[in-house]
Amino acid sequence: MQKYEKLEKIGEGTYGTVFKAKNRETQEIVALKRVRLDDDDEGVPSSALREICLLKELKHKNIVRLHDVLHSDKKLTLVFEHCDQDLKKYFDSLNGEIDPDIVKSFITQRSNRLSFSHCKHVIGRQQKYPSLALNESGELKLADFGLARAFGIPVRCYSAEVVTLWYRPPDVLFGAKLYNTSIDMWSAGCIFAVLKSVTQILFMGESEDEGQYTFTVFLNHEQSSLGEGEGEGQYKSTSLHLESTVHLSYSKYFSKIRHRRLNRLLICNPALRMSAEDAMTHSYFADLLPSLHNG
Amino acid sequence: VLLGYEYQNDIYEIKKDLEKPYHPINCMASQPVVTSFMRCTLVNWLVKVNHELKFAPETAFLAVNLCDRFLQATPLAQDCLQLMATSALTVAAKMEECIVPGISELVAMCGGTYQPHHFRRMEVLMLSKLGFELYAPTTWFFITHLAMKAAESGSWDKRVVSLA
Repeated sequence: MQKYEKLEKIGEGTYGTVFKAKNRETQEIVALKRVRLDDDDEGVPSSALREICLLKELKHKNIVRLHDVLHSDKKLTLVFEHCDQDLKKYFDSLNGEIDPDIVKSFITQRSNRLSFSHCKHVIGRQQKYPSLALNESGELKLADFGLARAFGIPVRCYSAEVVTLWYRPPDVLFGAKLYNTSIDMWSAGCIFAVLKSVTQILFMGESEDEGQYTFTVFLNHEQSSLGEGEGEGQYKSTSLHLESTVHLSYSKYFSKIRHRRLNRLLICNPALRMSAEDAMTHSYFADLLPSLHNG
Repeated sequence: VLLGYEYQNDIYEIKKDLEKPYHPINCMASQPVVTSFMRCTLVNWLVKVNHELKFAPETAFLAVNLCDRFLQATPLAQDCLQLMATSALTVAAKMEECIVPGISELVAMCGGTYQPHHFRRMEVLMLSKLGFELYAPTTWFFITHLAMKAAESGSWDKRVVSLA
């Protein structure tokens, strides 16, 4: 640990504490994530293991860079590239006003890196806007891979306890264990909506039950108000309406074309949800510089 | 249509590229005590344990890859062999499975030969020797991939998968 000088505590990750630190030799500022290996626990946590070896494989400008792993018998220290702020702090500093072009740039960068990691057979399962970090030049980086895992084809059963509740897709919220990249695309839709509306979370719920409830009420409400719902109120954990799309009454924030895109991300049936690559070719991004597409 | 079908070929390409760096070469060469016969016994034992814990085949294949790469890098005493294999299986399970056996279970699995702290130390040692490079492409991956391709073209034979 002599190589780095601890400056301040930044926060708590999925596991362990994160510090801001300085490399004594190069003066470079880094983020240190420390995982304690106590005598009474089960060795290195699987989330730490997965995060380390996934980040070793994923090198992309929209993914936070893992520089090094230091280890001793008592602790593991992950040395990350340091980002100045996360998206949540950035929004809080904006007081509710956001430039549509910045939103577009963020969304592009997110879709870009999602498409990249999906091609590298990694699902994030941890899309939420506090885990998206920003550096000085406005580059968006995904910072928390604590719940990520590689997937294979055919996809096997994974844990349903993934993704922060507010960004969890309905199929998984209702207990589906067989999922794949579509789980990230739902969260992407939620974040997109959050970005457009500036910090207004779509499906807020304090617990899983409440999450399901909020969701059900939301769908029922939307369906009845649109007059196209059939058998509202039958939404039980076993009978998920897979064909429905979440219709959003966020017209204030969304122009039609964006709305349509969101609709394709927030589709209850995971098989019909847009893929990250499709998202990248959407007309919403058509007017962006080509340089943003290749990265 | 399978879930995630559109990424099937991408995954195959990545795994193909990773095959070489993750492939153990002559893993028994630097072992003064451990013999190929012992390794064979060890692998048989691992496969049985893997089955008993109801892990996916992928986990066993990954564990054997971790064992071999560890053996390639580190001369090992005979009495640590089972400890090393158990750690490899645990690491593989942490990567692949939803439920991972606890250290007390590992102690019982090895008949009380090793203490809990042995497992913790071996795990860290293994991770550092392997440089945290754990997503090895396995024989099981390639076989299932080829079997799926065969199924697409209609020449699917269930026995193919058993070859792995």
